[in-house]
Amino acid sequence: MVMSYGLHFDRLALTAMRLTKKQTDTVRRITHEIFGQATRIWLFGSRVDDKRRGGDYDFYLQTTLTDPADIVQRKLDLLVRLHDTPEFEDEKIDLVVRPYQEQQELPIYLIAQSEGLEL
Amino acid sequence: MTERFKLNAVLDECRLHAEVLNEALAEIDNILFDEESITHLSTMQRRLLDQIAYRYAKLQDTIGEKLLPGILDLIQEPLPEKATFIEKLWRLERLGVIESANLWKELRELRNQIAHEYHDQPKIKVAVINRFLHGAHQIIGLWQQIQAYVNSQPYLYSDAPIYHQQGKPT
Repeated sequence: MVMSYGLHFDRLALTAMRLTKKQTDTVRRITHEIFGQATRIWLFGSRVDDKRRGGDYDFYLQTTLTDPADIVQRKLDLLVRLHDTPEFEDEKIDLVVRPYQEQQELPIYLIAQSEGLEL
Repeated sequence: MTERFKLNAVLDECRLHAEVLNEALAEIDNILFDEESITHLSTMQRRLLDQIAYRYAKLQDTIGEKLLPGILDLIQEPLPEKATFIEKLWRLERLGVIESANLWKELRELRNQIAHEYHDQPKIKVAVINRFLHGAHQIIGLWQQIQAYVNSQPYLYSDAPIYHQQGKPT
């Protein structure tokens, strides 16, 4: 009984995206460990569409880091760590990382923020 | 076909991929690309980068799908029937066949990253390619370590008996 209430609550809270609470917590925790606490994270793409099934996990990160080589290395570290978790094992994950103070507003950044959901 | 014979064929295959990968890396001359040089690649540099990407993938696939499972079989290290690839990697790390299971996973992620085009993010694109060239050296290092392990265990590639810790052939 208690369990079914828990599940019901999770669905209500996450009604607009197909990401479980556990997955959300995992992404937030590991991303903040690797990219820093100030990093903002959005889920976008097919996983914010309730009508679709399956699909890749697209995350957009706004980081306070600037060095591209550093960002690429941390991105690899993050992917390894996420794929190590039961929540994302064998799942396809795409990460778009926006370096700090990047002047150019790329279409992908705009789409991720306008259509995505911040975690 | 014996297991050892199969393993020798796989070792030859890995050797070939590693050799071509090494040649391509030597030819590209350890360049660190920047935004300028990456947008003005010569035809030769483009071909070399393609070749590096291809051989990197082939080497990692052959090691991951054939060589490491073959070594585990011959070592006769008991693993649960449904052991995942990650569990096998940990076992191989503990045995000293590979230095780091984590490095393997990182090189796997790197390979997926190189498949992206990054049209709009030239700085990130350059960083990914430079990291990939470094990764190509790392995967050759990983192969060399496995090769050294195999060479230290004659029963893996010849009819020598298997000696376990007790020192008795099995």
